[in-house]
Amino acid sequence: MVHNLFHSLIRLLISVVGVCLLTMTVMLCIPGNPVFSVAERGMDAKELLRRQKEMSLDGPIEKLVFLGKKLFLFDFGTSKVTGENIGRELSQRLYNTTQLACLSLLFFLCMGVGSAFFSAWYQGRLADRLIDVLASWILATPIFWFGIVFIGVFSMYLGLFPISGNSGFASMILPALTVSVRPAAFLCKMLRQRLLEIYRERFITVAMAKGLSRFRILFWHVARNGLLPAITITGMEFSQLLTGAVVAETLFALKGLGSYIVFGVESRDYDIILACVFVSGLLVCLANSLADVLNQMVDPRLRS
Amino acid sequence: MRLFCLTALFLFVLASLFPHWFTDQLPKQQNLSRILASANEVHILGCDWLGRDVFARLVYGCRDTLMIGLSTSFFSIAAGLFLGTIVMFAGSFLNRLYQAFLDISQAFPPILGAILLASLLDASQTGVILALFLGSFASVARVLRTYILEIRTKEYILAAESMGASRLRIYAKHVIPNIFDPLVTLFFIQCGNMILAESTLSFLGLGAVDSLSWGNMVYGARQYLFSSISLSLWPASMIAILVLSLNRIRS
Repeated sequence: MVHNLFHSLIRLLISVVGVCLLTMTVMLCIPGNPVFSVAERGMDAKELLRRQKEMSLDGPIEKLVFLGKKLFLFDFGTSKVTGENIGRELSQRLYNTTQLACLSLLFFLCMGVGSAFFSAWYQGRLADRLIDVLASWILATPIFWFGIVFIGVFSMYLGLFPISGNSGFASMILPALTVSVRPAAFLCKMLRQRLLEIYRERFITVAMAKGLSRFRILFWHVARNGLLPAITITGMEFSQLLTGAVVAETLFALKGLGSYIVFGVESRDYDIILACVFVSGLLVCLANSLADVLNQMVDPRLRS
Repeated sequence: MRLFCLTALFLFVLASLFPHWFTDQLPKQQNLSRILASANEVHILGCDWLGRDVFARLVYGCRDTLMIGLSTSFFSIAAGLFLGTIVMFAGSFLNRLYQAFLDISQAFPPILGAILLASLLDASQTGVILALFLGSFASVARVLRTYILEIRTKEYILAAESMGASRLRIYAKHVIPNIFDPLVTLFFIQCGNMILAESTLSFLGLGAVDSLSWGNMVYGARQYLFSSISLSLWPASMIAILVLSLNRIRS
């Protein structure tokens, strides 16, 4: 157990280092020089060169080390467009995005697992086939389509939820739905297939021969074996949730990580874009290893 | 379902090859007296905010949309196969390095990589294709690598090796033909994914400015979301139908 945890930790560290390296490579490719971040009004070229020597930023290696230190301290500098501290702004926005992500995770699991079990219960019948078609259709639809339709139906026609902006819990529901619909369809498809595979196993035949009820077979024997992959898929789909957050936050005008990226893109502020991509890369790494560890804790077969 | 997908795909291909068969209107023809006009006999889906015919834009946009999907998908699979040969030919160090690279790239959601690259590159069709390709090829390469490694353990590869066949011959004669089937499936699914990714990029304002693609149409229509919602619904629904057909075509 401890050995496995150690392994997960090492893998997490390696991927975090990789994310840092990739981000720094992109930073080096971007025109500009870190020394400009300390430049003040009225500084001439000589002064800048002296500062560059002082900060030991002559070669690409030194630059990489400098950038690495900054990333490690989450110091992304100040935005050239708004003049705000990017790190502070990011942490505020991260709070909103975390709320959105938690709510979407809840919707994602309820819809995905629920529809998969519903399909398995009615397997081969009309309801099952309808869910399959619906899931395929959802997987083929761009995320913003759902956002547009939800706004049209729930906000404009029925007037149930606010159209946009951060105004409490009600304003989070539609964005969270928009984010979670597509991953939920994916989870439903994968889980349904897994459940139907388990139905063909021998211990299910034995359970049926014992005369257990269909309910007990599905929700005890099949569920215990079938729900494990859901953890891995949740970890995998976390990056999809972040992608969805970019679209949903833009569409619903929420202040979060995703809309910050779009803001950075629109104002061509590379510091903001890089900071956001770096933080989301770290989040995805964390989510994946968390799924790894959870899997090991839940599944006795992976423990040894 | 299958019939529907095949028909839709056939129509899409036809529309991208011969768009003038479907409509007399031109996609870039502006008519300022018809701004946001509703559907009538001449403009069967109405006009957009510059008085351009929506149906004509849908028909002519088919080519650009398909083009982006097919080319990025083709390039990623070609790159994945090329790098896959490294698995066959190179020593264990390079192999591990490749595996590590693929593992790390998994941490970046493809769309984020594409956003980052698209903001660096210029906003042309080539720039978007390059950004999508660079952002996504690692995920394709990872799948291809598992295919190749799986095939390598098969007995007929061992048999060919024991008969003294060269690695190149094994790769060309045994590995490629045996992964050809999943490769085609992967190609179409990736094509659909890329069309979705392009539409997301365009929706966020990172698409090609000169492109007629459906994603770009939605981006333009975003400002008119509350006044005429159908302007964004039409192209978005077309994307859904196209991607659904592409996903379903092999099954």
